[in-house]
Amino acid sequence: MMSIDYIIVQIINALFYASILFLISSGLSLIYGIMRILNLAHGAFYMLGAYIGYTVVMLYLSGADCAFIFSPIIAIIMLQAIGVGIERGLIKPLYKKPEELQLLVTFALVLIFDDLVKIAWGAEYKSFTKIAGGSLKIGNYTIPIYFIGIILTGFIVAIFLWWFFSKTLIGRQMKASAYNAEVAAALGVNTDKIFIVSFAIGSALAGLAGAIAAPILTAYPGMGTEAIVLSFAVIVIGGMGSIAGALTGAIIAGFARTIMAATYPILEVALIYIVMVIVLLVKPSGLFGREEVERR
Amino acid sequence: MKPVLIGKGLKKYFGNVRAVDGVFIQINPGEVVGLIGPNGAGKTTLLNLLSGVLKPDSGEVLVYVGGKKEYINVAGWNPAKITGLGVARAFQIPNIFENMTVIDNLRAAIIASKKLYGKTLRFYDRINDVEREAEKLLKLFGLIEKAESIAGGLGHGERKILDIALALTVKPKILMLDEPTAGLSAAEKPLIIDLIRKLKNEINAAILVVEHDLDVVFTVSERVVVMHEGKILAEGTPEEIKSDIRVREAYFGEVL
Amino acid sequence: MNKQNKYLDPTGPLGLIIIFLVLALAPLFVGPFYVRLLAVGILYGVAAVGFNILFGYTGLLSFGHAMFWGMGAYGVAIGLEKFGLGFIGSFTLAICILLGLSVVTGFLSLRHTKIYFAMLTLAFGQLVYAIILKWRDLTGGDEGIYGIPRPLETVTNYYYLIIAISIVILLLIWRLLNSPLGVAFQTIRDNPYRAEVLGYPVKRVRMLSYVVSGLVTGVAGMLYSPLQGAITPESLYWTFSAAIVFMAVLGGPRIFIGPFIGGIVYVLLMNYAMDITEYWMMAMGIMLALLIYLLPQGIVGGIFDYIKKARGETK
Repeated sequence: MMSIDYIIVQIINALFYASILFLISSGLSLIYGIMRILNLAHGAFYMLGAYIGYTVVMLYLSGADCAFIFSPIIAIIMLQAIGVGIERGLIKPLYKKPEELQLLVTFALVLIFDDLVKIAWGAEYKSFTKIAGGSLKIGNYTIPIYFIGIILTGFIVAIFLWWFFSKTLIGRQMKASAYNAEVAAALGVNTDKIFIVSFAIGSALAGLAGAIAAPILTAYPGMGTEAIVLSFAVIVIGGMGSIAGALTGAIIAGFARTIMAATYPILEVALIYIVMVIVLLVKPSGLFGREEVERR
Repeated sequence: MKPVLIGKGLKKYFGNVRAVDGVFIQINPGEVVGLIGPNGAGKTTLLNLLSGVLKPDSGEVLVYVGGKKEYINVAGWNPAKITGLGVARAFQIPNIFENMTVIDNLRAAIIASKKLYGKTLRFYDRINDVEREAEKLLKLFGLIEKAESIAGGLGHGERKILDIALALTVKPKILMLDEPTAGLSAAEKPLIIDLIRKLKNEINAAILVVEHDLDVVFTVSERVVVMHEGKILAEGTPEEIKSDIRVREAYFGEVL
Repeated sequence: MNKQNKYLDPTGPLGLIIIFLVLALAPLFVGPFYVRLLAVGILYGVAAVGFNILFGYTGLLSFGHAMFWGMGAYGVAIGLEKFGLGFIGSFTLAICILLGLSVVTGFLSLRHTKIYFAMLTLAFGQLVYAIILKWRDLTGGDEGIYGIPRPLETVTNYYYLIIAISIVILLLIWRLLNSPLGVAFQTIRDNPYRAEVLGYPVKRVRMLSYVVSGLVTGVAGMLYSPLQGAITPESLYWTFSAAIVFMAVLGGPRIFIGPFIGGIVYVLLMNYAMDITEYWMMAMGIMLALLIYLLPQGIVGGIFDYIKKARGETK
């Protein structure tokens, strides 16, 4: 059972899962780090990305290979618009109000979106009839090359985010704002603009995750609620507000799940939450804490 | 009579800043002492050291407890424990219970001081001892009209008064006031002066007032202590301090 | 000083008596479907009041209260179906489970406040969900447990039992919250620093609040599985924790009966939404969003504000 090819396949499985989680979680972490908002609807954005991906690939382009490139791009564009629209329209009016109201409004969005996709696309699970790229043979196993594509995408996005936050002006402004919003504003940073950009990037990341995950995981109503709570676990473990944390947390989650699924399936779902509890009790700011946001 | 509180050799540095640099201060029972000094002199830091908000780098904070021991050194103690020994403190930014009514604020403080919070079988506002004390405090502080108002809605001056009232519920031997007139309008300041006068007459506590407003301090204090750059510069009656050249230099040197 | 009889407080016992009188008369006017619906609403209401002990009164937002509700329900279900205990035995089993759960999770979660506390409660909630979900032998896994018997057989009879038990619980909680301990809760909510300086044992008080809160929500859950005859892991999922928060905020967390009304209104709204559209979740979401913008202090809070304005009172 523990042959090399089996191990390699499992590692790829873990990394695939981790990549998707990383994309979702980095968006969530970003929004929390800069705006201090826990966006429960983030999972719904992931779901929308998946449905958009399905629409572009299956409905418009009938599964053509090039569609798999277009769908993430379109998902990113549309989710940015949707995300910003929601932030300006629904969340901004609640800035000064108690936090639980902000939280509940994002919960309301979860309820709304879960039915909205049913209205627009129907309640059935939407699977893809084909996936771009062929298969890769590893010993006795075959995996779709698409998995590798997803892992690469995660990697590229991680590098992009690193570059964005350390090399671009607006990225550094956002980091400063995450560290201390008042001081940043006093130093001339336009916090309103920062908020919009954060939400745009965050939602785009969730949409991207959905679009590229959909061919493997299928698009279905309610896929966001599981994704969001796993993302919470990831960002808590990695450190809320830290991209490096989201990456590390996602990798831990990916491997934890894969290992447990193969050895103790009973703990498959529970393990990540056990880790989450331990991290919260030992180092609540997470592996990379808030300092890391500044150092990156 | 033995001093209620003695600060001996107190030092507190923040990096290179010597906020409190070897201070000896003594408060006698029942006296009203004003603590003044230009900005950055270390007044609030000293107050924080005496009330347990900050731990001194060196020195002692001695509280008189009577009996054989006479004094206990509370330096670095948790503020709640220091309060238990009779050292109470009001805050510059009023530290009250915003969502409760004024009288509930008082009841809450009295319940804590009498350790009644475990009594789940009584109504919190039907305990005679608590009600009597609450009424007394409301009268003393002129808050009867506002008894049923939500604390969060009070004006700034009233919030300060409530803050001081809360500090008094522990029946302290010494009450420390941190800039009681800060942020008050000219109309509200006399209220505080009156209050301090009343307190002096009605309660048996010594009062230590840290203040910026020199008029207020000179009016209410029996003794004035002047701090400058972390050290005690001068001590004496208001008249003595008013005419002390070193004090003028310390203040006006700052302005220039 | 305001010395009128506290029991006549409309936000307390008087309000409760009136509401329960209406509820008790309901079976005379509506059919068994609505009686069962109202029973669920009452239990949700009690659960929300339990949650609010911790949230509205002590200032701690728990995002895992579904675990108390769910474990109460599962405790009874497991006792009845898997261990063959009678009702008394199963209820006792459930209470023991709830006590253990609340003490352990409370002790660990309360090492932090605010966001980290909320995250810990979320984590524990999901952990309990995950365990129940995978422990097929004991809990039936994702199918849950069904065929749970009901005390007093019929829904209507059980409805009256629920009313009786709920009134007692709510009155006891009301007395608790109006006792010096209730004041302790509120001071710690408003200003934990000052509360500590004044001498309140903040950690202990928070722990007490958490345990009582968990137990009350748990007892409501205990009464739920016999009512419905079945229980599934859905009741342990974070979305139900969010729903409980919703009910408390919807009703008005600053007022004792607020969350109770929130629970009943939630169920009625859900039923209404289901009647008018198959997309009732979206309808609920829209109604929730509207309430957040129009009535942020909750229904009962809004009513009281309106009454105050009508009387010309200011703060």
